[in-house]
Amino acid sequence: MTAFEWLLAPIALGITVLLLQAAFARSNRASLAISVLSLVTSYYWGHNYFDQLILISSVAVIFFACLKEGSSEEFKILILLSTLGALTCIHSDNWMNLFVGIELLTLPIYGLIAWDAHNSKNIQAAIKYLVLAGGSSAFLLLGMAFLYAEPGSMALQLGSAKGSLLLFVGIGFKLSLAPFHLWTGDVYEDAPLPVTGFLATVSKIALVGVLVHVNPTQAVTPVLSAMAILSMIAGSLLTLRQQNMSRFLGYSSIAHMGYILVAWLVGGNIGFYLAAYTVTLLLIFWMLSWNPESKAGSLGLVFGFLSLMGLPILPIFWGKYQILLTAFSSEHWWLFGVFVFSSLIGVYGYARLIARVCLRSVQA
Amino acid sequence: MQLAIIPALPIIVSALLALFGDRFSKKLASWLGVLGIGLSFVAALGVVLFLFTGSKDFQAYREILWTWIPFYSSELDTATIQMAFYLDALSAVMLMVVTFISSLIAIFSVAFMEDDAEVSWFFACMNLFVGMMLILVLADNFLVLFLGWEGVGLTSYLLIGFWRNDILNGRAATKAFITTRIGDVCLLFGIFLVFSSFGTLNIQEVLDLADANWPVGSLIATLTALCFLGGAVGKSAQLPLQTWLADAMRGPTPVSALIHAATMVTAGVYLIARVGTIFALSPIASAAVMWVGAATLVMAGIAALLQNDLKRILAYSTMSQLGYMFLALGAGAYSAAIFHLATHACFKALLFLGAGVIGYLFHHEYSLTKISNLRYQFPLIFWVFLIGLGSLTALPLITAGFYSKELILSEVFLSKQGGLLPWAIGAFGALLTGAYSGRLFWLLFAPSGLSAVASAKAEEGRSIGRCMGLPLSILAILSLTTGFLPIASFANRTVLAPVLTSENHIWKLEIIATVLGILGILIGTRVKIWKTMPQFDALYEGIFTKPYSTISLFMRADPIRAVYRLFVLLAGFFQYLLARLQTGHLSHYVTALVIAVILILGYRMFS
Repeated sequence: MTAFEWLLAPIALGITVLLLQAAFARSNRASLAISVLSLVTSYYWGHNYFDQLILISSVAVIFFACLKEGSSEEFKILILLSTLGALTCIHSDNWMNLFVGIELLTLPIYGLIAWDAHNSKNIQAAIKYLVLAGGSSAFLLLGMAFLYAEPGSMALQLGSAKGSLLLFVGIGFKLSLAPFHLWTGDVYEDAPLPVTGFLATVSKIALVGVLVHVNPTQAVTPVLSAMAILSMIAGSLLTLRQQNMSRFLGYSSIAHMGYILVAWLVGGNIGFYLAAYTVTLLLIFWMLSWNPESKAGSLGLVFGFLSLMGLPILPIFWGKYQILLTAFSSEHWWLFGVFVFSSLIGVYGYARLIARVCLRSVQA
Repeated sequence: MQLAIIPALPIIVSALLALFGDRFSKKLASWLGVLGIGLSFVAALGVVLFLFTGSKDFQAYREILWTWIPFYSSELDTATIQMAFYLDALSAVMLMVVTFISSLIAIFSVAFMEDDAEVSWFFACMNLFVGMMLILVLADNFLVLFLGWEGVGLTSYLLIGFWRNDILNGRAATKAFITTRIGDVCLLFGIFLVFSSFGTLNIQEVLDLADANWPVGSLIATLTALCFLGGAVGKSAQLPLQTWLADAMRGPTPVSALIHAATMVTAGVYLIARVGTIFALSPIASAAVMWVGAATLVMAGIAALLQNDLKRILAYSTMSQLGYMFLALGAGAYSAAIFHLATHACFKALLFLGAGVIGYLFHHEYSLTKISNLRYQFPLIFWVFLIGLGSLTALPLITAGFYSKELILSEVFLSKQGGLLPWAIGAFGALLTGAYSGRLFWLLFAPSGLSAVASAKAEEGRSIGRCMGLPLSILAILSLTTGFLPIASFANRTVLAPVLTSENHIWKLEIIATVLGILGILIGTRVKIWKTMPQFDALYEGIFTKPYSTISLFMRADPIRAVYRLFVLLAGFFQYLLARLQTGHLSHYVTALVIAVILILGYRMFS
């Protein structure tokens, strides 16, 4: 077996066992043990930075779900399936595998968003995500077709300008980059909290992992620069007056994905930023699922939001700092300027939220 | 390590006291505080004796601890700033003065502060002060010097406002802090000038380079020297930044003795002596030093004559004596200035501790209208003030002040910069010194007292214990004998650039000055209590504070804020637009998706 197969095997096995267990002996505790065990085993085989981030996030999301309300086997199966898709995305070396990976990542998420079937908001969010993600997947597939057709190879190369632009429509949608960001707020707000956590971490990491497989080309750079600039500004502005915590995180993710896109465009250090961002988000979702109104909970939230704000010495600051240094030395002045400017605007929104957290009026 | 341990000891003790002080008993805390400073004195004494008796031609010892700020650029590798200490004869004199006087004052403080609730915090601040002062004195480069310089400023602030329940103390502390900050900015500019000229901050290297590269009278030398003078003027309370010192007397009296008489305020004198080479390159700056000193010594002498508060008289006297030192520095008589610095530290510390005893006995009452007739009640105070004021007035032959002050006057007269006029001002200053000293002495000890009522009563059950008696006796002896020590010639071992051969006494002039001093005492005994006092603060209020607050009032509406308002409005507007796009309708979102794709592909087609 190849290393990649070793990585996926424990999760696939875990899914099978969970299916059997769901059929014959339902038990929340056993299913928790099985799912965590399979993820941890997979983590043991993982040798890739992105693998590790994804697996850590998946385990964390399963725990959050258990903290919030006991979760059933099916929930875990869907999470494991989606994780499987995310790992496939990262390890695929051709467009075919990549498409399968992305769809495997996305399909279980529809189910996860609509998890609480009695809640009409969940259903609404799921349908929105289904239709929009389906539409964007169509563009993705068309883009891949062009990318295959022109050079005649399935290898991950941006040979065709048309194809790459369509491909980035699909990826941009999943990363909720402006102008494809409209779904983010609604879905983040209406999905169950652990699922929002999953969307915000695993699904983003996987797509960023795909991004780093290719290098920016002449054809896509101007369009993607525009997308990055729009995302940073739109994300920061949308957070300004946002009261709802989940929706706020959605908007802030737009800005942060813009920052990551900048890192990709200027050739900066994406890995550190992504790790810092993921860890911060996991902290925030942990606190939200656990007890956001307790003293420790609000302290953790404040810490998390300060990090998201980019306050010096906190993790995300160093990520931003490295990206800015690269942008500066490679003379991408527009990206640099908007990066700094949007971080500045964002501070207001975070500060407001921190004040609200401290005033113990959190609506998770 | 030998040098580093001297400032390190008090700083460690300070940290201990600040962190765990409330767990120690008062007695333990205060003696720990004494121990920190005392051990530092022992270490300093050991180092100085070891180095300077070791070989006759010993010049200087440098100790590099670690690289503080590295510069990796190849052109600026000399600019790397080391955490390093430097000991030569000049810093050795300062080192001994600072550690020794501090130890005595620390012992005195044990008794003085015995009833205070925050003894450990007091000693923490005091130890921190001593540590910072030693860093200043031992600094090998300007940045380390600046660290010490700001450190003593901070501790001075903390200690002036030590009794923080009274808002007036807080105001006095703030005033001292801000006023000296003005000088500090000047000093910083001086350091910038030096760095931009030579690319190094090491003091000795800078002095060598300046001597080699700057012509005498050049603009850059004058500018740099004037910037350093600005720093020295702030710290040493010379005109025009002198106002803070009199208010600083609101702090505990040992603090006034230590920081605002014996050590910190002499930092300005030390700084000018340290960078004497630069001043020697600029006749204008040297003249400025001299005239600042001359003006201050007369102004402060007159002000001292007009005060009714014991500690304020001593504060103005300190300013005036510092003026003498500046006079000597400006005339190029560096060793004489350092000599006077040492003797002044002894007798002024003695006088302040004497005042401390009075404050201890009389509920911190220092007004001369309320205290008098102490002659037979407290003979120790009488002797303390007799010796201290005698040394201050430079009573001939037996007091230390005589030798240092006469050395200053003679050298000022002989110097190329100086001459008859500066000498005459110095001699007039001697008259004033005599006058305010005589008046002070008379008011304190005259048999019936000039004031009719002596309303303050000594506190019950308080007496002068050993902790107070010992430092007072030692300082009294030193006030009489330091004059015989060869401090001036010792300090001269550090080549203090424009050398006058020291020990030039001109007996005729000395006799005139002495007679003037004694005449002053006679005048002083006739001067009464004043009803009103001239206010320097009012002058500053009119010139600086009023226009400043007028401008502030005008700026209150903050015109510049409109720019930020615009920014906020724009952000709000765009946020509104973007938020309107979040309709929540799936059909809108799909439309937006398709439009975005069309735009992107359209861009592709037309580019």
